[in-house]
Amino acid sequence: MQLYETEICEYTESIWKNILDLEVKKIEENYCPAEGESILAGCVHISGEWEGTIALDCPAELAKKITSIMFKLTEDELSSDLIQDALGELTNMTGGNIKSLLPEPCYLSLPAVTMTEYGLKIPGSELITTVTFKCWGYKFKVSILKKKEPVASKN
Amino acid sequence: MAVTPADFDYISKIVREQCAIVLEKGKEYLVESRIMPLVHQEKLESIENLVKKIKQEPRGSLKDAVIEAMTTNETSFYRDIHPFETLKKEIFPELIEKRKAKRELNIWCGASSSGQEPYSLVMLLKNDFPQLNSWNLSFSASDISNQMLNRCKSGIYSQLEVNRGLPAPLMVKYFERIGTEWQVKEELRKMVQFRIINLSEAWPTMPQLDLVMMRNVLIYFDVEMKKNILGRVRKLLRPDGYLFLGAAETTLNLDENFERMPFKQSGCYRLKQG
Amino acid sequence: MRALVIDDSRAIRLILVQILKALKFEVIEAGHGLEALEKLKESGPLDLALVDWNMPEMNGYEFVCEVRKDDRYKDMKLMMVTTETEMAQVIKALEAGANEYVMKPFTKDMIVEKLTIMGIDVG
Repeated sequence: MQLYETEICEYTESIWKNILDLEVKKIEENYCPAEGESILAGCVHISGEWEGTIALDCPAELAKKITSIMFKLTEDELSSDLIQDALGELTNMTGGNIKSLLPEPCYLSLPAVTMTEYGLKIPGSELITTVTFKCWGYKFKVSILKKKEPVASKN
Repeated sequence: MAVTPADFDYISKIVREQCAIVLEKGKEYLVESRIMPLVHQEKLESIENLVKKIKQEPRGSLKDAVIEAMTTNETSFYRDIHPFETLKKEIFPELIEKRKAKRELNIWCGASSSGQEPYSLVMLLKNDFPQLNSWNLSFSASDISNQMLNRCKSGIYSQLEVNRGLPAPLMVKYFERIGTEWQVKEELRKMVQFRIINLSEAWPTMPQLDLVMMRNVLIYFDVEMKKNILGRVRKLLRPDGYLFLGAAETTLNLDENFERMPFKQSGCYRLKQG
Repeated sequence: MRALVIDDSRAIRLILVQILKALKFEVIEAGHGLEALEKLKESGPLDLALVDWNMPEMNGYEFVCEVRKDDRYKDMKLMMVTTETEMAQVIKALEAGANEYVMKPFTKDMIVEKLTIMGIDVG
């Protein structure tokens, strides 16, 4: 069992259910985007007693569906602005809830969202937990990345 | 997904047999909303399949799960707010004045479900009437469901549950965070004796009561059982004690010994003063 | 009744505005604390503000502190609606003068129940 895996499931299910009225379920296989597949990566950074990043990676297609639910618009009416806002807020809620389990005090950054074909790389961090969920036949994942301890330099 | 009349009748029948709770026609929506999560959980696809499975295994756990789902209430802290305001402004000040010689108060919540009602009351007593700390306070809370009773005793609520109706100043005062959940502090938990009571069967011995909370539970029973329950409450209630029913419930045409008090949307009753 | 909804997410503002409008509120929106203070200057005291915590320019906690410094807004109910869910944060917001606190994610029922316990008659 990875660190905070149960809690990530609990929070993610609750956020998607209450904000989007969508049932999401954890699945065992890992979400590895196919070559060339557009994905949206949302992340929030946590600083303070614990340092690292909470990330939410999801296929662009699913992000569009989420956004159309949140803004009550059809998918044709969406702009990339709105999609980033919606995914950013889901990431913010996920990150904020996970932060409450970490040693206090910790501070949450504002969410950042990027469109990528390769997934988000956070230099200097190691992946400690990743949980893949399924929603409407799409997969998405929530990850915790911890900032690596700086290596003491010898002069 | 709609429930067929035959399946509705079957579910009504097993619920009635087990706990004398009546699901009249028109409560189909209730069956659907309570049973569908169970259908999904059991991967059965429809209420029809669920009913089939219960018929195949009449002693299986699925039947208990249906009864559990049909008899438990999703609820919030300080639900409907008005009864609690009436208790705070009218009922408790009056009872405390009347009982100050004996310093004794006996309270019973007869349908405590997942515990939000008894804990709302205990927080109200603790926060607004600190003089009761030195009183002999007997507070019991009961429910028909064993699973609910264990939840009540633990006093553990999810973030979503503490978000519902619980004033933030009381949350920080009387709850502790445990991982993703929130727990009522022990000093409050030990003030309440939780027990299983099936309202339609015999009740255990209880002291003479100053306050009985029986909100939104009579609606589940047929007229005879409603009369029976109100009759037994009448015998347990002190002559100047109070009974609270749900705002939409009444003693009218059931028990003529009660009179409704003129407090805003409170469902507050006392025995007719003779 | 008039309310201010302050959140940097347009999606959340939209959800909250819809809830309040259904309860017959007239609603003003702001994307951060500074903008909210500006809008408040124009509108004068309102009945209610729903306040996110983490926002650019000025966060919700700072907004609550600013509003509570000004006696004109003393009757205005301030409710945090935020993903900050540590007990210490709830206490900090209440001490600064917030009246209520909702932890995200939320539902319409939660907002209505909290308004009711703050004494706002939502019918």
